[in-house]
Amino acid sequence: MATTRVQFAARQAAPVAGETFPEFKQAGSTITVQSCSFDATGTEAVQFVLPYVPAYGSGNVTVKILWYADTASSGDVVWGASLACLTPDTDTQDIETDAWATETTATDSHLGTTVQRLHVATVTASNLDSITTGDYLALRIRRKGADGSDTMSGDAQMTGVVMEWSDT
Amino acid sequence: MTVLSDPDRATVWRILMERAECPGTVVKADFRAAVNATDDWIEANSAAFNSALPQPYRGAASTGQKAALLAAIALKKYGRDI
Repeated sequence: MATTRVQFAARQAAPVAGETFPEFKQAGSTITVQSCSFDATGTEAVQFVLPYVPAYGSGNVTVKILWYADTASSGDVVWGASLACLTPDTDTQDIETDAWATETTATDSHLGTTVQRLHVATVTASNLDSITTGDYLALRIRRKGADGSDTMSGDAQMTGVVMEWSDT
Repeated sequence: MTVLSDPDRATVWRILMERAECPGTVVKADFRAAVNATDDWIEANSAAFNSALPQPYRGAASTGQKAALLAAIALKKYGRDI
């Protein structure tokens, strides 16, 4: 039994139809840091696409969201993750009207000390849209800035996403 | 005058956070309370501010011009660009 991992950098983020795309930010005094700036007061969304799901066995999909605060050093951020999967040559669903499976959310707290320290939020997606090896997969990531549990001021900068699942 | 509408207060709150004007240790709800309190204070003290302005400026200036004067003095006084 092994864990399959796929990863996406912020620069691979695409807009989600009908939703607000966060600003793209490039910063860094030594290394270059590219990220998507998710607002504190509303919901913004990005989408990543995996044209071929490798080695899916069973179980939930773990979505790890790498993020840092732009200006805050305390508070919580509510992240949401949703999947949409299509099996080529099998599913008859129109790809352009395919819907997201129900979103799963997780709240991650700023750990303090340094404003722009890197955090990882873990969302355990249990609504898998019948994911299977070889699927075309879309992943939506949102910051739920208007959620009452999202208390962190300022932007949350998402630098990348890692997806994990079991191959057995 | 009346206090700002809730959407207008939310706009001020959002813009100031985007400009990094909220201290890092302060969470969103507490910063929003500060925005609301500032609006309330201005509403409560607007008549006193107007009375403090000398003539003929007080009678000639619009409310917008007086607001710009107040904002400019406050910003300059505490080291911000006008």
